[in-house]
Amino acid sequence: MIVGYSKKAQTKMALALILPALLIVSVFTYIPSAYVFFLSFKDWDMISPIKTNVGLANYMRLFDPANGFGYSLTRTLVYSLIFIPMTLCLSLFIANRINKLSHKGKGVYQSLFFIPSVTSISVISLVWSYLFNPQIGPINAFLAKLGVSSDAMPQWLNSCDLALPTLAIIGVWQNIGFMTLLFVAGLQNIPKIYYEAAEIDGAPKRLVFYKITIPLLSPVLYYVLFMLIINSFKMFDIVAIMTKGKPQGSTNVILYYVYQRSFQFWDAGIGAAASWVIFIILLGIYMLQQKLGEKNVHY
Amino acid sequence: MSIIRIKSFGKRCLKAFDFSLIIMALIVVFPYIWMLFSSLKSTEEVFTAQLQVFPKIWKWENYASVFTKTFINSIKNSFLILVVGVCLDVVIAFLAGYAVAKLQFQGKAFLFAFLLGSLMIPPQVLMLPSYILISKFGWLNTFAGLILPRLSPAFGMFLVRQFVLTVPNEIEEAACLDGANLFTRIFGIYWPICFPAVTTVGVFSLIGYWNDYYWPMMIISDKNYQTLSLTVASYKNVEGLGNWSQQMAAAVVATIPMIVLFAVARKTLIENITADAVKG
Repeated sequence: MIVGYSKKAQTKMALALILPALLIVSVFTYIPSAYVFFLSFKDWDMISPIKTNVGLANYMRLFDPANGFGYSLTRTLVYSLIFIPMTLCLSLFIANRINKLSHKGKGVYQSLFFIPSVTSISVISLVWSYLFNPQIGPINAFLAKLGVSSDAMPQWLNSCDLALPTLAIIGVWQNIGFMTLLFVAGLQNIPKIYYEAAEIDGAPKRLVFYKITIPLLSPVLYYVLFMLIINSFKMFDIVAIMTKGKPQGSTNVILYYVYQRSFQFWDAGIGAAASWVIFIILLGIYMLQQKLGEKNVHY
Repeated sequence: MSIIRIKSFGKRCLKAFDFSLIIMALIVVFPYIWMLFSSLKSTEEVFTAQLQVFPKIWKWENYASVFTKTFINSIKNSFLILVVGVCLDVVIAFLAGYAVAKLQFQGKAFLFAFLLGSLMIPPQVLMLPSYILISKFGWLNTFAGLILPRLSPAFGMFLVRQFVLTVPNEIEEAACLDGANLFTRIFGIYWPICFPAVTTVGVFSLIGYWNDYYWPMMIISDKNYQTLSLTVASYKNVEGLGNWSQQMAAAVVATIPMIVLFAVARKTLIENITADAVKG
């Protein structure tokens, strides 16, 4: 509080200062959220002026396997089951190694791993399409050198089984740097005394890691874990550029599903209903984070 | 003594050259190396020598052919969006951040939660209603449509607030006695003191605008308003055989500004990204 201003004057000032932020958040976040809720009860092709009220029909349609929503949800789940553990383990491993380096070395490695986080998704898509290209890409050329026969050559993004894991690998590559950064900061915050005490007691390295590092790192671990969950639900751009849900819908993750239904099949109702289901899932995840975060952070 | 010294020096070297880290770093950086050198290869080399990193003949012409009219125009568009968007983002976040940090007013807790709550909703989830809203505003294929919906004041407000809270009130009160008005106080006192927050918000906003793909893709169909990331991605969608090296050249051009920026702002950026997580 600044001396010399009445509460009324401060309220006026504050509202004037916050107003632009409030306007933006309301118009571009909250109003669309409400609007998509409204749309989820309508049947609308996005063009005609008539929106018919259909009640819960759109939500019921989501449960119909013919509409493929459940399948998209499992695709997102498969993606996150590859993407999250890999990113988590690799970035924790890298951070643990980086933490042992000198200050200068830390900076160099942190920056190198961070570069993918500042690279545009279109550039990432172009480069990785080249790298994974079955005909001219260096990855398959390397596999051929190792003696993989041409019929056994993985088709990466063109294969139903491999397309989504390939995208997950690219996702891991893209996210490692950011998560490493968070882990290094977390590791630096652990007081050295604990490690010294463990050394005096002659504790084996593995035990030190599981009994000291992991529990003391748990707040950061939770933060990273939930960030990764949200990131795997947010995955859209890379699908839109690289695979467009193909081959055979194997990369049709949940947000691409919303896009496809709304802007390719012109079925705004089901797109809106799907958006709301994603909302609810995300909300559940946030609430879980709050709860677990309070309970399981060990000090 | 000298032996011990050599030994410890060797140990230090070994530590810095952590083998597994070097391998990992090479894997992470490899796509960039590949991109850079492939952009200088000739078409035959792309198709025949698939495992060779360095080009035999360095074809700098690839870069000349990248700078078409559309490409240059999209760079211009991206820069325009960047300058306007980042300025708006930073100023709006700063004003709000100051207000929630230093002023006492009714409904503060609610407004603060209202702003922060918007962070829980990823913009991609709102693509359908946002698109409809923007088309109702008549903002399809306009700069306003590209810039305004992508402003994200909540994160910046929070970061600025954390910084402003650490500044003692006495400074502002002294300025008050000297007759400084609200805006002089905000931009004359808090802005310079909280400059690390300003840079972090700015750089995040900058990366966001520069790399944004999904939103321009939704609302831009007119070539004159294409952003750089749209133009670069459109090369992928053409699937033209043989122009891989040009594609890579375009990718290099689109990547360099962000890497330079990151190199410059690295220190503040890393500190501020991590502060949030470590405080929990």
